[in-house]
Amino acid sequence: MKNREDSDDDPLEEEAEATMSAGEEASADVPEEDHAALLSGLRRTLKVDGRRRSERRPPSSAMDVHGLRSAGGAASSMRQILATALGGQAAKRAVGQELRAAKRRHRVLEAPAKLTEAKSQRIAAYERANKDLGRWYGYVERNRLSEEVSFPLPATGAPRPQSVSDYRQRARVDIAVAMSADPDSAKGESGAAPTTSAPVVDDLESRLYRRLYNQTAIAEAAGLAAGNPQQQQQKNPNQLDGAKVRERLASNRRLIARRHFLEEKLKRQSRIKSKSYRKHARRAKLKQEEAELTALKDSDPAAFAERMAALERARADERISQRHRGGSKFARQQKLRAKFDDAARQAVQDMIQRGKELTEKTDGDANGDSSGEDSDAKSSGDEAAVQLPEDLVDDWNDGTAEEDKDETVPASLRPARSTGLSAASSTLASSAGQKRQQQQRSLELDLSHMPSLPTVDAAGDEDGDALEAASSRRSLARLRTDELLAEEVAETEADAKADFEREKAAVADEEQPKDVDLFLPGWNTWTGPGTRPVSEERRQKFVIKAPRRKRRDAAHGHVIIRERLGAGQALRRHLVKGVPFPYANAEQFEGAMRA
Amino acid sequence: TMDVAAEDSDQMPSGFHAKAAAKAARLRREAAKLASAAALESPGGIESRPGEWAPTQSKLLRRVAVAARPGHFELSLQYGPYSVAYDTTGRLLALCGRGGHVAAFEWRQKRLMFESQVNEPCHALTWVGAGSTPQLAVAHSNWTYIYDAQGLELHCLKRLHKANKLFWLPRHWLLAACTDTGHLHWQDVSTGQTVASYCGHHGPLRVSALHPDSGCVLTGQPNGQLCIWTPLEKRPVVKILCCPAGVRAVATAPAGHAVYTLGGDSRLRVWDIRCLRPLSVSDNGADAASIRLFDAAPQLAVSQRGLLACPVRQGAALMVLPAGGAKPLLSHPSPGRLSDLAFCPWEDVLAFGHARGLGSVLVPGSGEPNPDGAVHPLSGKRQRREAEVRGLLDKLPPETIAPPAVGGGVNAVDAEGIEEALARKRAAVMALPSDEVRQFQPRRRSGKASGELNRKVGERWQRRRMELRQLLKSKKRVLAEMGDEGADAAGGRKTKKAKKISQSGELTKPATGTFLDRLIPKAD
Repeated sequence: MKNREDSDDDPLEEEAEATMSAGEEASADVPEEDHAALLSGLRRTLKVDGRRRSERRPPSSAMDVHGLRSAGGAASSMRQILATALGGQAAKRAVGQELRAAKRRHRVLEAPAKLTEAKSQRIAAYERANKDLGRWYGYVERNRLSEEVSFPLPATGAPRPQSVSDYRQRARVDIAVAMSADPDSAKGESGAAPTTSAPVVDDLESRLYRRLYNQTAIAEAAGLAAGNPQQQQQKNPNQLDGAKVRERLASNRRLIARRHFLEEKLKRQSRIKSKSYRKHARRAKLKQEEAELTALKDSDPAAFAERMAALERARADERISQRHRGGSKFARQQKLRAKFDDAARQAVQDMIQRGKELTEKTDGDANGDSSGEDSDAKSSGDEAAVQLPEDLVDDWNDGTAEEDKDETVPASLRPARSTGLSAASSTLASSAGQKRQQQQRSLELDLSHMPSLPTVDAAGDEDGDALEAASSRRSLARLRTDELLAEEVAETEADAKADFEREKAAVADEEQPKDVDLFLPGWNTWTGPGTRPVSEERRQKFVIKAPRRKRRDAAHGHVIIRERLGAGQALRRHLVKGVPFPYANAEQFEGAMRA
Repeated sequence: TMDVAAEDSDQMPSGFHAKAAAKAARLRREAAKLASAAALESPGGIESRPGEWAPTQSKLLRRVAVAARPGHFELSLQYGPYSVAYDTTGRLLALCGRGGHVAAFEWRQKRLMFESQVNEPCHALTWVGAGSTPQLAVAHSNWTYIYDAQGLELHCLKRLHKANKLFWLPRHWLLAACTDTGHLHWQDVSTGQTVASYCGHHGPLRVSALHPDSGCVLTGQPNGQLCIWTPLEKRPVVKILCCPAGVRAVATAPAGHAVYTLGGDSRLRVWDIRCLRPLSVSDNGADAASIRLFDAAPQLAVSQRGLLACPVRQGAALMVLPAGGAKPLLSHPSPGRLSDLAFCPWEDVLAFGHARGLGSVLVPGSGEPNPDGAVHPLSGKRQRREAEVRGLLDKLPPETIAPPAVGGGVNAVDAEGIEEALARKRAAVMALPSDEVRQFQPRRRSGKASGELNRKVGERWQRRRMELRQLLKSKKRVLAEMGDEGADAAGGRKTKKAKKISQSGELTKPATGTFLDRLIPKAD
C-alpha cells in the first residue's frame, strides 16, 4: 500500500504498474532491481521529472467494460514504448510478444449488431413516420385556427390512398425498399442467394401486412425484391395457376346461377293465386313434414323431441289466443303431432269445441227447441225462464227484493211470460253490475217493473214474442261473454287514459310560450385554441323567461281545453263595447241577457 | 239579477240610471204577471208508481186528448232503414231511407209535401232555413243536396262529401256536416260560403251531435274522447275523456247543458258542458255516475224537457228514461231495427226510423208546452215569414260559436276591450306635460326694463299656465271617475301617480317635483 502511495506521485511508474498488472504472468519473473533500473532508464529516456503533475486529468468518458482498455489517451503509446523498450532484448521478447498478443486478442468488442440494427431501424421508422405525419401539421393547425370549417374538408394536401389496391401497392413498394435496405441481404455474406422472403421480412410490420393482405402480395413483393418471380411461384403453394382459377370462377358462376333460378322459382310460386294449387302445396308440405318427422323419430331422437316440443309450444300459444279455429295452420300441425301423441288429439278436439262455443250465434234461431222452451217459461209462473246458478239468484233477491216487497201486485199475479223474462235479464244485469259496484258507482237499469214489450200493434206482436224468447236464451251466453268484455274494456280504458294524458301534456307543452334565447346562435358551441366556453350562468342571463301560464284544464284530469287566442280576438269584434245603459256593471248586463 | 240591481239604487251610477232600471224592472214584473195570468200550460208526464207497469201506447191513447192522438202512427215503408228529422217548429217531419226514399209531410195532418226516389242511399237529413220556405238538406251517398218544400233539387253541395250527419244552426244560418271521410264542414246557408272545413284525424265521424245553445259540434271518438268543435279552430277546442272504452253515441239536450254519452262499455253518462264534469244520475235517491244499458244500440235522443230515448234490445225496442233518472218511463217495440230517433219540439211525440219504415209514439212530458220562440207549431204564415227575415237580420257570425266552458258567449261584455279603452284614455290624460312646457322659462328682458317680463312672453306664459291647469283638471276628473280599481289597472308611473289620489278624488300630494306643484290645490 505504501509503495502504491509513493508511486502515485509518479505517472510513469503508475503507467508501468498498470501494464504490469495487465500482463501479470509476464511480469512475475522480473526482479526488483531490474525493475528499478528500468524505471530510472525510462525516466532518463523520456526526460520525465519526478515532480508531481499539477494538472488534473479529466475523467474518462468511456467505460472500460472488459477492463482491457485503459483510461486516457496515453495507454496505447505506453504500450508501444514498453514494447519497443523490451523488444531490443531477447529476454524480454517473450514479454513483448505476450503484450502484442494480448493487444490483438483483447480487441474492444463492437456493440451487438442486433441491437444497433434494431435501433437504426427504429430511428429510420420514426423519421419516416415523422415526415409522413409532418405533412399534416399545417392542415391540422390551419383547421384549428380557422374561424369556420365545413365538412367534408377539401381533399387537398398529401395524396391519400383511395382504395385497398392503393394500400397494397404501397405495401409492396415499402417491403421492397425494406429488403433492399436490409444489410444482410445486401451484403450477401453467407454467399447463398436471398431466395426466401420469410426470414428477411419477418418483422412486425411485414407480419401485419401479411395479416392484412393476402400472401400473394407479400410473395410478389419478395419476388420483386429478389428479381426471381418463377422461383417465388414455386415456393408459394397459395398461388393458383390460370386453369384452376378459371375452374373456380366457373363453379362460382354456376352456384350463383342456381341460386338465382331458385329465387325466381320461389317468387313465381309465391305469386300463384290458385286456391287448388295452394291446397296441393299445403298438403305436399304437410306430407313432407310428416315424412321428415317420421324419419327423425328413428334417425335422430333428439331432433324429433325438439320438433315435438315446438309443436307443444305452438299449442300453448294457441291456448292463449282467442281464435280456436279448426282449419288453422296450428290445427294442421297438431294433427301431425297427434300421430305421435294421443293427448294432442284430445287437445285439438277441445279446441274446436271451444271455438264452436265461442262463435255460436247469439240469436235464438240456432236452437231448435225455442218454442218448447218458451212454453216452459210460460207455464212455470214466476220462476225464471232460464235456469240460473244459485248464487246469481241469491244476488238478484238481495239486490231487488226490497222493491218487490212493496209492490201492490203480487209476483204470482204478474203476467208469467214477461215476469220470467224480465226477471232473468235484470238478474243478470244486476249480478254483473254488483261485481263492479265497488270500483265505479253505477246504477243497473231496473227493468223489473216494465212490461216486456206490450203488444200495441198487431204487426209487432209476433216479433215481440220472438225477441223475448231470444233474449232469454241469450242471457246465459251474455253472462259468459260479459267477463271477456269487461277484461277487454279495462284494457282499452287503460290505453285510452294513457293516450289522453300524453296528448294533454303535448298540448300544454305546445301552448306554453317558449323562452327567448338572445344568446347569439353558434356561440358557445365551438371551441379551439384560446377559446373557452361561456359559463352557463352567464348564458342564462341572455334568456328571457316566458311567463308560466296557468291552464284552464289544469284542475280537470279528463279535459283538454285549447287556448283560443285567435278565436277570442275574432269574437271580441261582436261583443258589446261598453256596459249598456242602464246597467251599472258587466255582471248586471250579462245576467239580464242570460235571463 | 236586473230587478235586484234596480232596487238597489246605490249600485247605480246615477239617479237617472236608477230610475231607468226601476222602470225596466216594473215592466218586467208586469209582463210576468200577465204571463202567469195567461195560465200557461203545464207539461204532462207519466207518474210511475212502484209495481205499476209503464203505460202502453194503447193505454195512453185512451187517456190523452183527441188533439194529441195524431202523434201516434206507424208507416210501413220498404226503403229502410230510415232517418227522421223534425223542423224547428215541429210542424214538419222528413224522412230518408238508405234505399233512396226521401219524403216530407206535415205529420199532424198527415199531408204529404213531397216524396221522391233519389236512387242513391241517403244517410242523414235536416231541415234548413226557417219560416215560410223550409228546405231539406239530405246527405246522399256522396254529396249533399238541398230540396225545397216541393221536393225540387235546389242545390248540390259537393263539399259536404259523404256526410254521416247534418246539423242546422238556426241562429248562425250554418249547415254543419260530419262526414265519413272524417271531416267537419260548416256551410253558410244564407251566403253559400264555406265557413270552415277541418279534418278530424280520427277516422269516419259517425258519432256526433250539435249543442244548440252554443252552436258547437260534438263528436265522439273510438278512443273515448268527446271533442267539441267550433268553425274557428281547426282542432277541437275541448276534449273530454268521457268513455275510455270508446264513444258510441252522443246527444245533447235542446235546451240546457246536459250532454249524454253512451260508451263502448254500454254505460250512459251525463255531462255538464259548462263545467265539463260528469253529472250524477239518480233513481230513487241513489246517485250514480252512469247507467248501464244492456243491448243498447248506438242511438240517443233528448227531448226539450230532458227525456232520453234510446234503443234497447239491440234496436228491437225503444225506451224512454226521465230526465236524470234511470227508471224507464215507457218502452215500445219497433217493427224493425231502429236506425234513428227524434223528439218533436213543442210536442209530446217521438219519431223513430227503423228498417221497415217509420213510427211515431206519444211520450207525455217530452216537449215544452209553452213555445217561447218566434216560430212554433201554431205560428201563422205571416209570422213565419217575419221570422225568416228577422232570423237573417239577427244572424250571428261564426265567431260567436264557443263552448260555454271556454267562455265568451255573444251575450258577454267585452271586458278586455273596456279595460283597454280605459287604459288608453288614462294614458292620454295622465301624461305628464311635455318637456317643452315643463322646461319653459320666460326670457327676462335685458336692459333698463330687466326684471319685467316681455308682454308677449308673459302672454305665452299665461297660456301655458292655463293649459296645465286644464290638464290637471281633466286628470282629476278622470281619476275620480275611475276610482281606485281603475288606478290599479294602470301600469308603471301612472299607477304611482294614481295612488296619490284620495278617495274623494283630490290630489293630496304634489304630483311632480317641479314648479307645477303650485297649481295643485291644497289638501284642506
